[in-house]
Amino acid sequence: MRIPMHRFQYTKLTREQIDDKLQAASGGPISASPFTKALAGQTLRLVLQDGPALDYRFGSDGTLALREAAGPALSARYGELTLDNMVFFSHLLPGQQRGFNVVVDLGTDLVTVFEIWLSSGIKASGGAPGAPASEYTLDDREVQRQIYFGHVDKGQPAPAALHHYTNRLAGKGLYWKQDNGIETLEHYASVANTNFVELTRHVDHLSYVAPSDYVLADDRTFIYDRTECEFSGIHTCFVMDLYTLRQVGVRFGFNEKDELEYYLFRGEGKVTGQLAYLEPFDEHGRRPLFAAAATPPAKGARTAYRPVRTFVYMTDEEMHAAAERNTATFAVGEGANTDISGTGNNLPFSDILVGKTFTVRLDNDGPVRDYRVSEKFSLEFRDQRDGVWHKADYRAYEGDDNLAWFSHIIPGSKPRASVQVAIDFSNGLVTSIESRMGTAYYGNETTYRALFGVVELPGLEAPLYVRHALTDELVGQAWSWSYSDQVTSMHLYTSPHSMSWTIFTANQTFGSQWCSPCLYVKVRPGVYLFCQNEEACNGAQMIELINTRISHDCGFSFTGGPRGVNLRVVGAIGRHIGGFDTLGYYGPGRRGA
Amino acid sequence: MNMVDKGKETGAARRAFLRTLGGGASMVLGSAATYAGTTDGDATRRELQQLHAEKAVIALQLRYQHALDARDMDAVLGLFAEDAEVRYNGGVFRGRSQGISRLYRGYFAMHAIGAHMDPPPGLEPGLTAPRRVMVAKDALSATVEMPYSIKAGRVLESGTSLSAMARLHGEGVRVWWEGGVMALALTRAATGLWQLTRLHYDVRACADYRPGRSWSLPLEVPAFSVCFPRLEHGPDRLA
Repeated sequence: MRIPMHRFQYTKLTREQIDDKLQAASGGPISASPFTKALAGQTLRLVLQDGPALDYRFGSDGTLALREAAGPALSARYGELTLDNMVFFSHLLPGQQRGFNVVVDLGTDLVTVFEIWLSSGIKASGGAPGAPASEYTLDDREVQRQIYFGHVDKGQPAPAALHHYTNRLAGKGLYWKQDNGIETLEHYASVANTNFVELTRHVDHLSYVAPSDYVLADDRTFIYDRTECEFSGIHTCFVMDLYTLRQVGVRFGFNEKDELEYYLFRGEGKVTGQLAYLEPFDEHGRRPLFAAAATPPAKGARTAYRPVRTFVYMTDEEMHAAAERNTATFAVGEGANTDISGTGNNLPFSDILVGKTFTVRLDNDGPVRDYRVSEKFSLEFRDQRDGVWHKADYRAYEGDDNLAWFSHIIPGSKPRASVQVAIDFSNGLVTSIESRMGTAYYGNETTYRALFGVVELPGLEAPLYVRHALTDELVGQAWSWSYSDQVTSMHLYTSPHSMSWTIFTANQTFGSQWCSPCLYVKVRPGVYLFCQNEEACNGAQMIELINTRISHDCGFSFTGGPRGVNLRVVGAIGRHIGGFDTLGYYGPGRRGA
Repeated sequence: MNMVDKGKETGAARRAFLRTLGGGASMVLGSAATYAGTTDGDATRRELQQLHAEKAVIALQLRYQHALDARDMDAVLGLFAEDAEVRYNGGVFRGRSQGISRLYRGYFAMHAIGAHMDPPPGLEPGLTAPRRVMVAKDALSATVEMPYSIKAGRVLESGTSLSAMARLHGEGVRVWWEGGVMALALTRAATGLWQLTRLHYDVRACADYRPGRSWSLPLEVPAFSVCFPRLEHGPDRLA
């Protein structure tokens, strides 16, 4: 698949279509590895906390009978795989678009049960504060889950402790290879999400985010799930043993071709790294991540970021009309967003350009721009293609010694455009991030590209061949960025072309998470440009200079919407949170290897 | 930033028929003498009525705070009379199902306001004034004045994904500490249940602070300047 997950137009499968497609699962799940038969011939009564009692009778022919909450017995085909003492089995209930994934610990008789179902009809809402909430119904194809903890009732006293939610996997990264050849990189950089990369299913190795649950069975054994909400809605659930780095689990749902995937798998893994997790030492993550509320979360509830649901579509012309009405720079001008949450910890503005006259010459027939700068916040420039001088507001930082990093709008541009330019006055090298409104999908999303070149000014001889370049040096690294004392986000530079960001909870637990494509440019050792566009989200672009030596970034954001175009400043204090050794999993040499 | 005990402003005439909690049993007995012309039995009965009333209004005030701590706004609203009035941060909210509902279900819930928060180090002394419960002679109405110390906040009015995602887990709110004097007026309905008819948060100090910090900074928080419906969760009028 080469279309990014967040751009793919998944079919809105109806309940009836799903009914039809589930017929294919009447024989139960399939598996590349032979099923085990640890439960064959047994009966199990599962007593679940806050859930129904499940009475199972397992045949020797791959069928089971289930009585749920003392209801009528239903027969179904099931699949089972064991991982030492842990038995994982999965089945659907005929005609119900519903089933169970069950993990039984034969050593302790503790169980974790995932009730799974489709066509939920669950309603959710979103929107900006103060704006009318936008209500929507979750797609029928999105697999829902409810987790119950309990035990196998053999007449013994109820156990004092059950499996439970945990933060013990927070910050861990694993590479997994399943018995069917599927490879993934999974970064558990949240207690409620996974930032994962499909190494075999997708060609671009972009990372995506899916809501997840993390359960502690014992100190070596964890139970996990993720559901690709807002994408195909498919569900992956497994139990993993981190002593032996093995997994058994199930994948259930509909892929991008609307094909039913219902299979069990075995897999082997490798730990790729560990991020520091910053919550208090007495916080064990035993409660799932939800906003505090007077009532418990509804069945199936999960904390899922669904940004595109409330993102207003604008055509290119509508966006440009809005830009003509209002293009605000640096919180100046009518309608400018004066939100300062992104600037409280910024680097100071610099006068490094003041008094300089220079030419930025970008390679491969890129723009050549002459600059005259006599003021700290205002400059003049002309594009040599039209020779017209423009006056523009700008802001500049000295991102590293003698390294200028500045931005301004291109006045009169259609679509509205801005440039973010790093000029190294010590060697003459230049990178310009050329940004504009509009993508192939939304007029009110932004687009960027990095152009490389040189600066020309008296006394500085720029190289002929040496250039700044795209880099993967940041890949796998995680940095928290505190834009102010109120707003901190952790960036995980997951893959060479994508990243994720994670919002901390009040006690600094990894919380909500989302992802986007991005690019990285190496400017100097330890100094990088990072540019990401929150595609299929809010279309906003962040263009930062990251100086790892001072653990600080500084830069700009470029956004557009019904109220016009905004070019703003943004910067943050950073902390290096850790990293993953994943670079070897990427690159063109990997495909077909 | 000094706290002022407005309860000390209670006049002498008022003291003639109101009594202050905290004096213990000796206060109860002592005040019995003010009921001239009544038998000891009547006085004792009235004292008992008053004690019951005091107990009931204190319990109601505690239920109010517990409900706020639990963000159970239905429970909060259930404590108010239909025609009650709440004053908060320069705004007047009227009617349990109208303005007061808007304040608690909307403004308080959205901005995560109201849960108890211990005061910043150094600001505790102003918050140690005793709770003053004053029950009318007929035990049908009462007032309470007491210091309060709560978490207050304001949603970060930002269109960024960061704020939207923080709101998913109940944050995206700039939090601060707020302290002052809370004045409540209550009446006993025919059913015997006490209800809040007036609640006034008299804000005396705000500070940039969260529990665990060793420092705090004074904070100026602007009062309401816009009313409902121009402000979605705004007051019915300005105080």
